Amino acid sequence: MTDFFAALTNPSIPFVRNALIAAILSAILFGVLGAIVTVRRIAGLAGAISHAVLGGIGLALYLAATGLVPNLPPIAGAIVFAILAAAVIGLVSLKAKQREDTVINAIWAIGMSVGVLFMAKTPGYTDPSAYLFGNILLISTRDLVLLGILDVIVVILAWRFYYQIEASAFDEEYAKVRGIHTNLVFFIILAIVAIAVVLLQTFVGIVMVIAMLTLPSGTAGYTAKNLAGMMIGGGVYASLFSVSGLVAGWTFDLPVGAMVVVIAGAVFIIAALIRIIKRRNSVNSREVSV
Amino acid sequence: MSALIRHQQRPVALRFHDVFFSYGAVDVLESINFHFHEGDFIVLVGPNGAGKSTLLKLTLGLETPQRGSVSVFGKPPRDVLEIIGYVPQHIHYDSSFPISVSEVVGMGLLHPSSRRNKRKMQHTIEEALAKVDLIDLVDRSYSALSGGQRRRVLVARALVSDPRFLILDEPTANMDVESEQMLFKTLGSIKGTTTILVVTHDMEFVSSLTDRVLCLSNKGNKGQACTIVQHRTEPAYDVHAGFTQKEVLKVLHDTTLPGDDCLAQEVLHD
Repeated sequence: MTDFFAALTNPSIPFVRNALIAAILSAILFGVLGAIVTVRRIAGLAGAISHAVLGGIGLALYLAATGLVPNLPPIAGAIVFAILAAAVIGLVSLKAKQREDTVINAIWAIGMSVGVLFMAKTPGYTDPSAYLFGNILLISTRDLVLLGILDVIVVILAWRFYYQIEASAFDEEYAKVRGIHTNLVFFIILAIVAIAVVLLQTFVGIVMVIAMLTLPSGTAGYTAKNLAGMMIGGGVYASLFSVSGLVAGWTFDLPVGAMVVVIAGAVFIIAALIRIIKRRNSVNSREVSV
Repeated sequence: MSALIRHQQRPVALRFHDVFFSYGAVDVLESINFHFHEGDFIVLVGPNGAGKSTLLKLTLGLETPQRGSVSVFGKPPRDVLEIIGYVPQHIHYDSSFPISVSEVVGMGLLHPSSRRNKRKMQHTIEEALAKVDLIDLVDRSYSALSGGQRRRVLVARALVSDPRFLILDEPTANMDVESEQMLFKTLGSIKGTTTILVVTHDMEFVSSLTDRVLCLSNKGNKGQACTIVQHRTEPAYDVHAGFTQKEVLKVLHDTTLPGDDCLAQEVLHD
């Protein structure tokens, strides 16, 4: 562990410091968006968007490598595919509920397959797993700036429209009766989740973004009294998981993204077990008192 | 007759004019014509699947009729949502949703885009909870309440904005006797000052608070869609009046009053 802190203060290896800043900035997004995704039960939709992103990355890599669109960054393709996937999934979710799961899973699978095909045809060697599992140690200063900007936007929107978001998630019909444009709220949430997924996949990778959108907020949900508590608690848990995963990954020379998610998963399961035991004890004590 | 004139002079709270509605090829409502005035206590009855919830959705502006018009105090429903209080039959409630009773009631004060001042609202929220006798549970988690208490919280949510028009969908469903009595006491206290529309599938008996009964029944042209029929009511002397100490009304399903007439029932009761 001392190695990690020595590396953190070593000016010749700035990527460790960048990784730590990325972990904290990501935790804010994981906390706020994770709580919304969890209470709205749209983790499956976010999963489909995050996996469809691979199609955009593959397409951008192909176009850039073949010279059709020189210097096209993978993130550009990822953003386009994420927004398209969010729009299609949002429309299907609202209009064709009976086919919702089919379409969502189709977008999930087709997006990934398109990405793998483009990468296979891209000149030179491209490893899809680099995008699937991410590498926080490759985060650039530009990535940090983008994450910071998105953090500010998400926190301001969540504060400004907190009650509208809460009402839409808790009782959508009633929110409509109060004049809230719940479909617009839903689409904005999906669009922001889509953009966040693109930025966050650099940190933990496409596959694990969903785990980090659900596990910290799920853990916080066991003790949170309201949605705001879940957002803040989720952010605190996400930063703890991210930093400890980063330290452990660096110390034991293991993939950081996977390490973060394993820690998050372990804490979530332990919290769930504690809750079950507590509930059982309270039921037993009630029976005894009766 | 002076009471009738006064009644006529009150503004029309809800008017359905020749409304037709269908979900795709399935006709649900047709030739719906009725209106009632401000301050009326109206009960809408009908069997399950008759289209009661659809009629409510049209009243709340959640659906738009394919033909005809719906107006609330002379305006399209979406333009007057702030004066409507609504108690849904049930909410698709996620028991793991972390939310307090106070926050649920506060939703009744929500505006489409502005942030509300939580401290200013707290007093209003507590007043609404006092009306349904749940003031002690203001900080309790909503999921920790019993089914009857949750329904009372939803009633408080509808009352918190001091609505001019209160709509309740199956308000006594899954309610314990105590909660049911508390609800009728609350409704009795605002009867006359607030227009109240209660939707229920209970075809037999209607509370003593009721001014008129509207019935959705299969009398459409094609025999599929439902339309509104107004039945006579009469006191049900064989039924215990309960806590209201007033006579309970019985709906006479073999009698029908003329279409869009809000006076016929008044004449009968005079």
